[in-house]
Amino acid sequence: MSKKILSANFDLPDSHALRVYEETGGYRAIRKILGTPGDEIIEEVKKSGLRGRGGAGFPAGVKWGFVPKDTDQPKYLCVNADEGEPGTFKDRQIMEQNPHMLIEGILICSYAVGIERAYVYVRGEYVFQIQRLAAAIAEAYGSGYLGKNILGSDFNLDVVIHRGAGAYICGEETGLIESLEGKKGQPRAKPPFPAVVGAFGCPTVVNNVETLSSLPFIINEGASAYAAIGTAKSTGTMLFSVSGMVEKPGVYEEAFGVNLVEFIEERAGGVLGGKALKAVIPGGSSAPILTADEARNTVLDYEALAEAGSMLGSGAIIVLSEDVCIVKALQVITRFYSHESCGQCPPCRHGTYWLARIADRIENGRGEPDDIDLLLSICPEMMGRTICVLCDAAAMPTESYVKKFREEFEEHIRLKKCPMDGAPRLLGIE
Amino acid sequence: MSISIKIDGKTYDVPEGGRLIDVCHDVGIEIPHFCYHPGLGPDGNCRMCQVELITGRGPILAISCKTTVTDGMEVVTSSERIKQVRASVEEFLLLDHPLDCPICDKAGECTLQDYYYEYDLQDSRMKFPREKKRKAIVLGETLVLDQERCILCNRCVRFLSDIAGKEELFIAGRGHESYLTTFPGREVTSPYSLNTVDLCPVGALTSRDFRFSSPTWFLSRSPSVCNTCSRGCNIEIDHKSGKIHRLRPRHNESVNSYWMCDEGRLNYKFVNENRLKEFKVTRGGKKVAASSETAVREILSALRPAGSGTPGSSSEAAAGEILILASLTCTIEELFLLKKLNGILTAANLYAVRHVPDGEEDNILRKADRHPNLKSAELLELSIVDLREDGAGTGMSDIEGILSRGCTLLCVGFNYGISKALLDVFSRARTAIIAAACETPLMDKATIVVPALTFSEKEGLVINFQGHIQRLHTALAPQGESMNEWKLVNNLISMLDASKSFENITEVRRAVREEESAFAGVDLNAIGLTGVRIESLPIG
Ligand SMILES: Cc1cc2nc3c(=O)[nH]c(=O)nc-3n(C[C@H](O)[C@H](O)[C@H](O)COP(=O)(O)O)c2cc1C
Ligand code: SF4
Ligand code: SF4
Ligand code: FES
Repeated sequence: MSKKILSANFDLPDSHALRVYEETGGYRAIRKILGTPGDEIIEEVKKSGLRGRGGAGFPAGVKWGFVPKDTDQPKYLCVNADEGEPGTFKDRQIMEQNPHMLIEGILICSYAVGIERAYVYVRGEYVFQIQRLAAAIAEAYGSGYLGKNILGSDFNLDVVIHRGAGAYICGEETGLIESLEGKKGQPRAKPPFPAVVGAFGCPTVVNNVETLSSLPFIINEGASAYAAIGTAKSTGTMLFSVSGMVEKPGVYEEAFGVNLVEFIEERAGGVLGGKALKAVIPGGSSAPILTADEARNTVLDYEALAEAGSMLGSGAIIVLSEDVCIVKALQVITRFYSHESCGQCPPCRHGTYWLARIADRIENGRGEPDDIDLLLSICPEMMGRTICVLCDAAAMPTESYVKKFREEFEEHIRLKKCPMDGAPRLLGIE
Repeated sequence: MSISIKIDGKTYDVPEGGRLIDVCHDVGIEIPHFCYHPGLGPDGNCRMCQVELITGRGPILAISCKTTVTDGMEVVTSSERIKQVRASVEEFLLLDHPLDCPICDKAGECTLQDYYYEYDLQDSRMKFPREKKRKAIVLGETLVLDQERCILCNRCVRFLSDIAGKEELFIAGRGHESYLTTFPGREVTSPYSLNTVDLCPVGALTSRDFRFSSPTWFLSRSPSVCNTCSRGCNIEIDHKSGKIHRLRPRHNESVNSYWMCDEGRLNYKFVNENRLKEFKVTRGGKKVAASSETAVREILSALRPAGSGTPGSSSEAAAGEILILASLTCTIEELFLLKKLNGILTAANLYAVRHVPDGEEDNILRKADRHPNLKSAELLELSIVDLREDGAGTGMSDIEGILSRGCTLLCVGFNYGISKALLDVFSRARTAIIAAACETPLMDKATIVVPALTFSEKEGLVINFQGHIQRLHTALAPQGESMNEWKLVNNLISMLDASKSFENITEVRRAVREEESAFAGVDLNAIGLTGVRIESLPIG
């Protein structure tokens, strides 16, 4: 079942080197499309059904189609390599193990949309990955894959790495653009969307590393070959970052449509120490939590997880065993969102902080009985009302933790302490 | 083109392309908002202005400040959901608000406070001690910042960068730890800084000048026009018990938009201080208080020397010439009446005087010319002399002849900007009569003094550098025995030639239109709150 598109080369020696990429069919796709009208490429990508892997799952081809055709302005591509969603570490793997696959994806997108300059906005902590990517970009320039008159055509493309400075909000596409422009990284009110007014006031495509890295396969094998993988609406494969209480945390590529718990068991070795599964966070810390039963009854694709009341997000699967305290998990994630809110919108600036303070006091044995309903009443006031969805990303999981594990919260309040003191902290966030 | 939109079930025809929040305002529906300001445009951060847009997928929330109206748009502003959105934004903002309203300058005109009553009205559900931040931070000459009260709406930041043209404030930190501040080691130096106090929806930015001067609800408000430079920004005079407490800009898109400069805003102290309150005449070389009748009688005889025949006869001229100086802070009516008086007294010479030194000029509002009414003197075809300090008395030569022959001097309206040249003219006059509102160095040399009015106490018209006629309104009652300048001059005229005087100021304005060709097309009695541009005027 485990179809390998993105991770095919990961285990090869020197998989990051141009030579290895070329030997395994790399840079075939860009050769194939040079000369083809960009619109046809966009159509092909639409047909493949490829959806954004950064979290929102928006169809990539459709997004490219929003970029105005007849404009005198330059157009830009911003590659979102900020990878800030807690639990997510798959873009890192791509940049480290196969940076040329990303570069070829950048070439395909840029060629299709008419872009001559691409910025790769990389999470600042990814020092090694940045070095790998920079080396690969240098190799690509050296071999005529980047720069002027690429492979003898009239297509030009420069790729520039921009190192982020450690703010989660700079992964939000317009926060990313502001930060790239040298401003404080905070999201812009939309519309206009970046496709129309993006970096430096020009039309801009923002795509995730993994989204772009899927393009060479689509071009080489055809949209229908890609669409044949996975399910009808969730086509292709995804790199899932599995972490938490599992035997073998790591990045696993999988075609959409497999059962969530089976996937955890078969690929990641099951729950750590053979303990019972308590819950799964299927799409990064912003995704509502699934109880063990819910997880058993859902498959990994966009629609099934939405139906289960959660989301696929960035494909970060966080496994919670019976050893994990949900209140502590909530304390950790609310603290994260409170710390990472850019602070523009009152519901987010104050809401995330309020949630964090309440979670904190419940976990520390100072909660009061009405705190549970207070949490539940704050959450809806934070959803769908702000400039970006960071606020929702704090409220949605909070609501799900409280609703699905209410007794744990009540127990904390009743005992005036955490009954599982010493339970492992998720995500390593203090 | 006009389009049709539905708001809360009612259909309205509105102009195409408007901002929903403005369109709602125009049809009488107020949408609460903190960060949007029509002079700054939308920013979208406060989330208070949300409304529901009815779409094919049902109602969706949208911020009305960033929504452009389109034909057929259906908007709901009063649903339970919208009420709840507003209440919750208000609650979030109040979570850590210090609630020091009793000692806050903004109390009474604070949007956060007003909206609490209108949209929230619930008890606090927050069980924590409120967050402490820095208070009473002096940001420079003009501003004080209270970081606890700041709701981070970004208006002040945007004003300084987008309108005043220099970034001097910014929001540092992130999330709940965000705070407004200056750049490290810098102050706010903008000559327009105090507009941020008006813009601030709460009491976070306060004016060092106005701070703790009065609870806002005790202030009366009167519309007027700033008299500090030839822009003539539209203002509101906020006053109490005959004293001005602050000036604030009044919106006039064709003159000053929503703004005014700090210099103009703070140029009101002369109204409160050093005022002349009584008439004075000279007795035995000393000035003594006198009744208005006595003073006016003495002025008349100074202008019409005893024993002379018919006023204005050549014999009179031989007895001594008369020099009339009108400050270019005078109104159209005053200048016109002085021109009339000048015509009656044939031995008289009237000059409109530039005396206030030039100030800073920029592309925002400020004009170098610090006289509010130079344009009127030009249109009334008055001779203008330049006695500014920096004008190096270029006009002195014009009046040198008169001065050297020895003359009676009548001065109207010199309340500040007293140059050396002006003092010199004064000391050379045989008799110096002054009608002014304020004690100035000129008083020492005056023989007769008439206490007069400042711009804030009189009705009158001025014309700005664009040719925009604007109206001063009476905000304060006259101080002491002060007499309106136009009335003084009109009195003198009526005593010299009753047929040439006027019943009231309306008559004066009518005469200006009838007798002065430059004003032929304008009804000066119909100048409203935002003035009238005389397009046909020759504007230099
Ligand atoms: C708070 C926040 C953080 C985000 N962080 C990331 C990120 O680190 N990486 C990423 O690719 N997308 C991130 N996104 C999603 C981006 O806004 C955007 O949807 C994505 O980059 C688009 O690319 P895609 O269509 O290829 O997924 C984030 C969104 C939000 C609201
Ligand atoms: S929702 Fe939060 S993170 Fe997003 S723009 Fe608003 S304050 Fe910033
Ligand atoms: S000081 Fe006032 S205007 Fe400036 S951001 Fe704060 S609340 Fe807004
Ligand atoms: S007024 Fe619209 S978001 Fe603040």
